[in-house]
Amino acid sequence: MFPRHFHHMFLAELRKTLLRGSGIAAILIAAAVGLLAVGGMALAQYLGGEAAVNGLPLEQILDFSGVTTAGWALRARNFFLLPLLLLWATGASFAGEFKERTLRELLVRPVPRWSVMAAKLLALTVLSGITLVVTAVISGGLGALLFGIQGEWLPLGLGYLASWPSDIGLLSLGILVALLVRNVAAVVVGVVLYLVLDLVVRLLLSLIGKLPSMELAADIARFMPGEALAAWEGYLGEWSLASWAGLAVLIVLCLSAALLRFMRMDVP
Amino acid sequence: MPSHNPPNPAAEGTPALEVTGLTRRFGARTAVNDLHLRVEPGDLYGFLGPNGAGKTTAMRCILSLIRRDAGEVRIFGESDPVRQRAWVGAIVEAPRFHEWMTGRANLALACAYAGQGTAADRTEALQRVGLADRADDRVRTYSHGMRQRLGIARALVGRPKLLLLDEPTNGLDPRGMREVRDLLHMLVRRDGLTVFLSSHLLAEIELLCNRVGILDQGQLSAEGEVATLVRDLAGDELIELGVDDAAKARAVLADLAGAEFLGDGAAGRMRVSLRGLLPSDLNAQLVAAGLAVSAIVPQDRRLEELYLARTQQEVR
Repeated sequence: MFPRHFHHMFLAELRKTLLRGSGIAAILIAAAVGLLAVGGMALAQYLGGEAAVNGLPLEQILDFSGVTTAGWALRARNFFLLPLLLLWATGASFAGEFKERTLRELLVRPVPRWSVMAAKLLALTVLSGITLVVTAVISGGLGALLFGIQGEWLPLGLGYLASWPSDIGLLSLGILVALLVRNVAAVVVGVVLYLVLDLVVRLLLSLIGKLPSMELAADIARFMPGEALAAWEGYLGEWSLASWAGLAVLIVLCLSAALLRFMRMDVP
Repeated sequence: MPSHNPPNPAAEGTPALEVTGLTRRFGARTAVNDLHLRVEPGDLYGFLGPNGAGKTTAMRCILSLIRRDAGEVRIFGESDPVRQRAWVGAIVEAPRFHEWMTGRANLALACAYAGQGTAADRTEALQRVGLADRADDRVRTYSHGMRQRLGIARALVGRPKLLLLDEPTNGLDPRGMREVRDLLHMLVRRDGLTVFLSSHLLAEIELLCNRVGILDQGQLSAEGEVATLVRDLAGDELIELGVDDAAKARAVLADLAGAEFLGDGAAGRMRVSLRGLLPSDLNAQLVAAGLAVSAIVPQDRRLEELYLARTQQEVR
């Protein structure tokens, strides 16, 4: 039974998600990343030929433009801090509310449990989208203003767009963990530890894949969650079908497992 | 937000709440064991029991917050948990809120999930519990009693037909308790609500409820109208006895068939149960034993007597 008032549930969850500490922090950090990218590029341009990397002047390495600025901002955004903040927001929305027993107060309302989970997931997805837009607008807008609009914007736009499903993959993993550990910090630590383990396994598989007749190991590595969550990086060179397939499988599996858990769990 | 009022509860004669064979185990421990309950529309039903008797577990099962191992719950004849909850407002244990949100925002969140309740409804609910002037403060600044009242306001926002309240006056001062009692009476009498109320406060249940169920070790040990249950229990007569030598009187009572010392009463008197023995006979026996009897005062049976008689945990 689909609640007729689902849009009210979603909007209420969105408001809560955006106004919670983790939501505000995520948006502020997204803005800061955009500003830092612009500031970094401005500094590099100011230093000009005086600064060099590996003997090459910065001017020869960097293409000073809005596109480059927004590209660096995207990489910085997706690298570490924003994913952690999104995991924090996910943990607060599920594990935190379970622990504080505010989740119970939602579940005594006349709505199916799956719709509660859907409203929360949608709100978190919108939060991720907002952080992407904030970083893109600040870095791209200010970058274009300071350094010009030359360059290819379309691939960059696709990179930003592709980061959204990558974030959803991370959120899905976070929700599953949040329904198992029931503690916000444990959600962040749990997912990070899992991704570190995933990285180690992928490296091992890649090494094994270099051995004769063991190419399959390298193929498996390309479908693993860590690789899937980096599907957005395709905009830098070539899109990887394996990564996108892996991302789709990751989202479906994590959300299915999380839903099964959420539907059956006791909420005291 | 537009109000999506749930369909009217089922036809007359359908119980507001009907629980049959409800069982919940936690490992080897059976928290609720084959519980049967029936709450009629318009009842103010008191759900009593010692700590750990299974009251809160039963309420969580009724609200489908936790799974049932067996049994069925019907609310106004409806067995689907989602549809059931359209008619229910609930407080389970201490009500919890998002501390960083205002009282009003917490109510708005509840309304959004209930699919009912306009801003005016929320204001009315806040006024009813006396929180209108603090509605825009963050909940973290609220006292325990204010949170309890906000919990009651939240339970009322969906215009429920059945209120399930777990210790609703917990943490309230005497005035607050009185206000909640008056509010519940009004909700039952004026608005026709049914209230299922769990409480440890026997005097409160006696003042409020027309029917009670006493839960002991996960099972219902007594259920019915308060007055009838108390009368049925009283196969004996309760008196307060005043004598000059209490120790000697207790020795006499111990040897006397049909008299039982229950405990100390008010003003140095002792409480005695008489079964098949008249107060005048008791008086004669005590005088014959050389005691001076200053008072034999008949006592009303109270719910407390019934409660203690029907629960084992607290007297062991």
